[in-house]
Amino acid sequence: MKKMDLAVSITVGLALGFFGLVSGITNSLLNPQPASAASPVNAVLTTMLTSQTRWQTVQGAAQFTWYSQDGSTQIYINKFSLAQPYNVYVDVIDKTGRGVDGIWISDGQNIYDVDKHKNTYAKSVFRQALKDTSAVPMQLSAVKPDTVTFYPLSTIINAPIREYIFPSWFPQGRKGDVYTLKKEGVFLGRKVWVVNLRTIYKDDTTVWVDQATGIILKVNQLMAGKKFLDMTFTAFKVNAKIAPTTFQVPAGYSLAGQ
Amino acid sequence: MNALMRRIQRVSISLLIAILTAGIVTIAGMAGGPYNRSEGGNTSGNLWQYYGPLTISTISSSACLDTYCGRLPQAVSSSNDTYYAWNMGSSNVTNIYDWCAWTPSIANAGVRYDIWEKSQSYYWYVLVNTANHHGQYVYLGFSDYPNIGDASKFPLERNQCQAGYACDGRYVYWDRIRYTTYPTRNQSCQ
Repeated sequence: MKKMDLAVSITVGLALGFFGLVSGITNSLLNPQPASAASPVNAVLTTMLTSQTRWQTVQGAAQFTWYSQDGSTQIYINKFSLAQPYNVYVDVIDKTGRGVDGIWISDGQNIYDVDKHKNTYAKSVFRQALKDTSAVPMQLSAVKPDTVTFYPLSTIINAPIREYIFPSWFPQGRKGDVYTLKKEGVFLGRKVWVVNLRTIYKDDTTVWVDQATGIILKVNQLMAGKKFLDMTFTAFKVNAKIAPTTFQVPAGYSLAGQ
Repeated sequence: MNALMRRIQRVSISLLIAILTAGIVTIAGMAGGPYNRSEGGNTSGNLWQYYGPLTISTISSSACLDTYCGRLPQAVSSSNDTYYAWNMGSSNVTNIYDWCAWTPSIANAGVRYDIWEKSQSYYWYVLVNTANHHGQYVYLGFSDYPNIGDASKFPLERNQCQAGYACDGRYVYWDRIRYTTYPTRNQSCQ
């Protein structure tokens, strides 16, 4: 055994070890991942996992109705425009006057949280980590048990619409969750799949999934057998041109603390 | 023949050393976690009140990890806005990289986590609709600055109503947070 052999062996070993750690290969080898969804709906779930790759721009509006335990309801409108990769505008409108609304904007460089009541906005930097999508599973076999990984940009959008425009969480179920493809149909003039998710906790969620983009256009959600959320898109456009000024703070608002 | 045997022997030993070295590096890296910080249960004080007037109550439920969760009612009025933080405390908690949060299966609020990198006077936030992630770790992302070596990094959780979500005084739950340390990337939280 020559010194050169030893040096080469250790160098190769170090390189392999670091590569395994940084790339996540080691983790994958040590923790083999089971497929998490039943086969009849695999095509739908895979479309949802890769939804963010299936559109360049989306625009529209959605209505959210939240059901409280006391029988009351709370309604919000979310008006949204998104352009890949990092431009987002969401206007949250509280229809019942009991909740919190605002405007949330990203131009890919900065993030703006607009307070419509104080006519101010807060500005923060768009994190570099949000551009790293390596953790997001792109196929069902890559879904990790008991862990959900969002599409990074979606995590910071300050509005519930984020989970339906970026639906990659939906196929990332737990062992024992049951997905059922109920039917195909048309909603808002678009072909949709209707899929039910029954979780091991007896939560029951039915979603209407746009076949072209994987985006969730409608939701009926029950928790413990009671209504929890109804969400429905009221307008939806895909790949239409969006003016760059959409992703700027509207006139009339000033930077908070100035 | 002897020359051939010697060459085979050299290559074999080299391969063995390379594999052993890779293994040692891997094991050293995997030693970076994941580590847990709990809501404190009824025993230790992992969770501390960072801001606001309300005190977390502890409940016992099978929906919680290790039986216990902390909880606060949503702050329908801003005067009840309260943040709790998972205190990293020990000075040997450095280079925190990936973060995950457990969602109890009784949670049903829109909840915001702020993760501070105090040495950078910098934070990021993640919004979680807890009703969609029962019994799962939610991956909260990783640090932009993993090598700072600052023990004061911590995640905050809030009881405020979040824009667009139900705001009716329902409970916001605190349970387990997990993290790994650089260079281990472990988005699976397992």
